[in-house]
Amino acid sequence: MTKHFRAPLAGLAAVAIAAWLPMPAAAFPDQPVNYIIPFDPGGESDISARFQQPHFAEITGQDLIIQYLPGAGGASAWSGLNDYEGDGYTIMGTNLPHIVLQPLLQDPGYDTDDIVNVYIFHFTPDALIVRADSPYETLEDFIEAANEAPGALTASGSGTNSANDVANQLFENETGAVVTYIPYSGTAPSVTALLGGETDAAWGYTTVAAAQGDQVRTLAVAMEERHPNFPDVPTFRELGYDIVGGAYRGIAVPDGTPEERRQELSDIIAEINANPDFIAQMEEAGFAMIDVPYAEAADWMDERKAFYAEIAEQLAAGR
Amino acid sequence: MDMLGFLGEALSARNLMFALLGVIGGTVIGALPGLSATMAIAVMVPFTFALEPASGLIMLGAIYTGAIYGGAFAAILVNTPGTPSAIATTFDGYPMARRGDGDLAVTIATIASVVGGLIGGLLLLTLSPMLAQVALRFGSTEYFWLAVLGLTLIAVLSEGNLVKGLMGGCLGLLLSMVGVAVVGGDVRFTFGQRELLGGIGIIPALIGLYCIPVLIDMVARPGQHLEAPPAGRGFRLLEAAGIAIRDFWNLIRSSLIGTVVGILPGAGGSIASLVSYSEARRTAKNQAEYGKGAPGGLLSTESANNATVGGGFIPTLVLGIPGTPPDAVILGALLVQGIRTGPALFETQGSIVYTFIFGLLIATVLMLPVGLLIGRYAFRFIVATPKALLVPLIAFMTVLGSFAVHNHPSDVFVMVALGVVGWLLNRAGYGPSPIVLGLVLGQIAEQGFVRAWMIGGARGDFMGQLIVNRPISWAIVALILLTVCLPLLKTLRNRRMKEAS
Amino acid sequence: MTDRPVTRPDLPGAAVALILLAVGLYAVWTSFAMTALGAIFPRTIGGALMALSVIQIGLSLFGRGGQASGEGREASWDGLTRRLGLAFVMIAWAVLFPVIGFVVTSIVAATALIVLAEHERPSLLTWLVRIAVVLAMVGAFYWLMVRVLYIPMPRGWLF
Repeated sequence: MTKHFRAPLAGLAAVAIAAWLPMPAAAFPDQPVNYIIPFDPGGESDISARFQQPHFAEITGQDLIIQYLPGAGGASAWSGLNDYEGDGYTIMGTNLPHIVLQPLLQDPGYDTDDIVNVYIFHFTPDALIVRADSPYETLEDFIEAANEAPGALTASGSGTNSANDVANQLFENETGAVVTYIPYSGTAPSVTALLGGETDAAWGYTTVAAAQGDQVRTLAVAMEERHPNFPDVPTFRELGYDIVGGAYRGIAVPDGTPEERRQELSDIIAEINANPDFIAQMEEAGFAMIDVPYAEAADWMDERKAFYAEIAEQLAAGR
Repeated sequence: MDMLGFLGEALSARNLMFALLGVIGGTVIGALPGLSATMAIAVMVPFTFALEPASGLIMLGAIYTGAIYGGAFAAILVNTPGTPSAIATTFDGYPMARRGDGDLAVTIATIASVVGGLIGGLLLLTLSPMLAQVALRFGSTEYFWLAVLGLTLIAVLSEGNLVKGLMGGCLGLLLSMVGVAVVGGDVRFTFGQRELLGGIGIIPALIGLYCIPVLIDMVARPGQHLEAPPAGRGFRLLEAAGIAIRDFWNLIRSSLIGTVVGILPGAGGSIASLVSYSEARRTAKNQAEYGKGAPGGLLSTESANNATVGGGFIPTLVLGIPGTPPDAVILGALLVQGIRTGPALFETQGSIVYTFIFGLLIATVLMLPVGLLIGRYAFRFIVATPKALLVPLIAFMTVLGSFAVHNHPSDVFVMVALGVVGWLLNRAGYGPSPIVLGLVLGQIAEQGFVRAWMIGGARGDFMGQLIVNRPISWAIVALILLTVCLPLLKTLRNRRMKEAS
Repeated sequence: MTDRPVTRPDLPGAAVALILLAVGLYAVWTSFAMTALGAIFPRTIGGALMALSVIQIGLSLFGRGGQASGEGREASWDGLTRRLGLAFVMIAWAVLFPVIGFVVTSIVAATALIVLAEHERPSLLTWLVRIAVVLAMVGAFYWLMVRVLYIPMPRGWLF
């Protein structure tokens, strides 16, 4: 790609060489790229994609077209991913733990290993959130109340076998408290339930805390260090509970996509992820950045799979 | 800047142009079943980045309100609701078109949509922070009862055979359970087909159940699909306005129901027009005409569904919780523009928000001329086109529309299969509407009930959670009882009077 | 039409009720393999459907089948061949377009529907105009889908 060449002379040389070569390999992408979001609009996957959109256009000169393909918690889209043409012009958002847990707990029509992730670009750390007027000032208050009446406290979240469901299970494992997890059809209704007083707490992400502002109080976040946007909110680790994680989001391609294309896409996303404006925008909205490029994605996935396997058994046993 | 300043800003030539373009585009997209407001808005979002925030938002809002309105055309002229919010429009709109009043029906729908959109928009402008509380007061329990209230329409629609109607409703409810359950995570009734994991698509089902039987009837008989109006008949604007003014309370009540129910995230759009239709019919003097071409039915559903546009923006802007998928896309566009929604929005970003709301109101007013013109051409087109062209055209739209929803070929198959089965069922006396109501409301009812059960179970007080401690539920249950019992009492009384005479 | 006395046995109504009885039974039966949360509705609704079906079978056989719901669709069987023809074309369209390709399938199916919906004997010119309209329609919407809305079309053998 000519844009990597700093000196104009080198650029000219590249053009000259390219003119001699039979295949102009430099021109990806030369048409708009379809970016399929396997959820309804408005969620974290959509918002982060919308943040990427202008930067993608700036770097490549091509539009990133965002489309929504909701259904079965993402499974409808992922099970059809490999049917798309592997030319690099169709990419799809992927979410963990969804793409690991769904094949373990249901038959969603795909295997985790069917999905070729080219980049994991951010995660939304789990956060335990209560209303601003809630009696639970700290995580300890909440755990105490949960221990007094096991199962009587309720926590809303988005979906069954989802990141929120996993967070609740991890929380129960680490603290010994029993909290009844109430699944909703998305983050929006789950937060509505919290704000309306239907549930005592909500399992959300730092993004929810950022969007809801003063209406809510975040008791703890599942990060290794405090989120730059929430310097006052403790991590679970600080409070003595080893919970770090959340929903990880990446971008995948159909398995027919050539290696070289995968690498090119990975490079483009890496470039967006390194943009200070993009990082600032993402962090202000509550996202946390990570960088897992294509070369490391397979190993990283194996690590996550091992981690979620145990949780999956507990979730299955709990029903 | 004061309110007049914001109004002036919204009335600038550039913003007016974006509003007009948005309304035209939205109306056309909405009139084509399967092409949704969500899709149109999602495609347009990147273009708005190049515009000033308010202009971009005005265009997106105009597309949205135009698309909701445009759904009425297909519902009236070919009995095909392109979105759940247009289902009840078919009940009276299509019979009106069949008896030669298609132009009147389109004009009535236009007036109703403008009034509904204005009332919804004005409430958004004035009472947003207060009305946003509605979204919070309605819990899972209330969603359940609201869905049941919508389901009582089955009883209304199945006069003559209640049992068959209820069976259709049960079938629809079972169809709504296909796929991965949100609560519990079970994979239900998919027969191992991965295409069914996401459930039966509501829009393909609507297109199939309502439109395929119409197509089947169209090919069977020679002649035109709709009667041509006498030459020189205009928009029938005065006639329609007269009807709207005589049915003034219906219009206002339906708009208010539309706004308030539209506030409920996730459920509002599909329930609002059903509930307001059922209320309009319950309180109407000419009840027997409802479902056979009563203008009042059309007024209620079309004003309610456009009122949901303003209603849906209330939780979106005030709470940062999108009411409907198009709201969610617009919320995403707001975030990218660096606008934080939430309680402080109206103070910190007042100029953009108020300019946007005024723009939405202006777009709603623009719907009157735009809608009348597009509606006139749509009506003339359907009337004048010979069946030999109309049938392939509509058939092509059903295939295209059900495919475009999720880009799944399987949705097209579901559409056709449900259409043919629905046609056969109708021949045996099982009408399509109960099935559709079950399918559309099933998930809302089930999730609401099961969550109330879980929460009640956790707190050790299920009945309290389901009804006893929930005053809003009392009101909804009272409406349910009224809707179900009054017709029964009336039938009994009529029967007794007949026997006495 | 509500009060019209129906005394003939309503055999189609009873047949459909029998099928729906089986559907209800299936729903209840499979609900036992579900989690407690997922099973409440299938079991309740399936049970209700079974009970209603039994009632309806009784009503239908004793001549109280009731008219088609108040949706007033004329229950005539004229033009049955054309009706079945349309159903067949639509099913073929839905099944074949992902295999053969959207444009080709749509043109063939739409042309078949022109023939099905025509009751007269129009001139050759009319036919040609109609086919041209179909070509233009398919082309325009294909362009709209692919170039404006960026909807990925299925890959078939042909276009």
